[in-house]
Amino acid sequence: MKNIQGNAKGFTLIEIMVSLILLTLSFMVFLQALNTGKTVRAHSELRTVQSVILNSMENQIRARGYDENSAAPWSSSLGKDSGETAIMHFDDIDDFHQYTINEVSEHPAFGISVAVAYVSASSGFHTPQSNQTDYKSIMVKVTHKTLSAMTDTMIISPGL
Amino acid sequence: MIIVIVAVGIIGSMAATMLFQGADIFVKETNRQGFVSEARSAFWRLMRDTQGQSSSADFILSDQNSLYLKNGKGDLKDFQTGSPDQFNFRLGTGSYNSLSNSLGYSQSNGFTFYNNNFNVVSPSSGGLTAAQAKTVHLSKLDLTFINDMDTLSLTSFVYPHNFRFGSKMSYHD
Repeated sequence: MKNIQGNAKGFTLIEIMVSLILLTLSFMVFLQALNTGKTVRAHSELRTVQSVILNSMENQIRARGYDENSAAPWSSSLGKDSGETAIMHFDDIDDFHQYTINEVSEHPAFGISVAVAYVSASSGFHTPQSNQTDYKSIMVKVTHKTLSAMTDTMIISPGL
Repeated sequence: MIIVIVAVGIIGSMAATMLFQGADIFVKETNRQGFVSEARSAFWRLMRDTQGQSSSADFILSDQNSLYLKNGKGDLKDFQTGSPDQFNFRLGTGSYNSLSNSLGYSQSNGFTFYNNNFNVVSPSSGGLTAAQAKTVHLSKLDLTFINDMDTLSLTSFVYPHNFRFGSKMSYHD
């Protein structure tokens, strides 16, 4: 009888403490997994916004003509021409050269920069050319305050 | 004995609270992920189909809440936004299918159209007329999706691929 009562005392404080430690450790792993999931989801959402901004900028550029001259020789200088103070005044692709937005109005954490250069097929479209060619390389970069930048390059010719 | 029971009770209630909060966060995150996926796929569909617009003339009847498209195969497609918070798509003359039930209709600017000079083409009552539609050079899609406390605004200009090659001439018909 004494033995039965002795075994039926319940948990000791030490057992409770060990259980508590194990429980805490398992919760830490669980919370870490939740936090990782949250971070991945947030990055995915930011990347979605970043790619939409990039797509939007590229479409605005593609909507412009190849050059302000209707035929070769093309403009020797790249960048905005006189009187082109706002994006709605831009009439050709190279007006976007060195165009930057530090904070996109709808998404202030994002910024945009554009670089335009003449390139040639013989150099694989990679190397900027000092002379005017029939191809312009347009590099659009969308930056974010914490994420890495997203960059895309388009090659546009007068016929495309 | 009493001390152990009290300790087990305290630890048990703490564990239950932690489990509930963890599960709550997990459910909210899953819902949020579903919401973002829905908004992204709906907006992507809209951008992709707008890119495929065959001719600016096919924007006829479009306005801030309606976008009428025709692809190179001649398939008619239209996207409609409306209250309460609906974003629907229709292929041909069939019935409308919902792309998202999370559209913040009053927060969205919908569809905007620009001419060659990048000035806004304001649709007449009943949508863009044939003459107005022909002048459309660039479109802008601006939708905001809302789910409980979450908001996702997606805005993009779209310059359809086919517009680069000029307008369709009479001899193309």
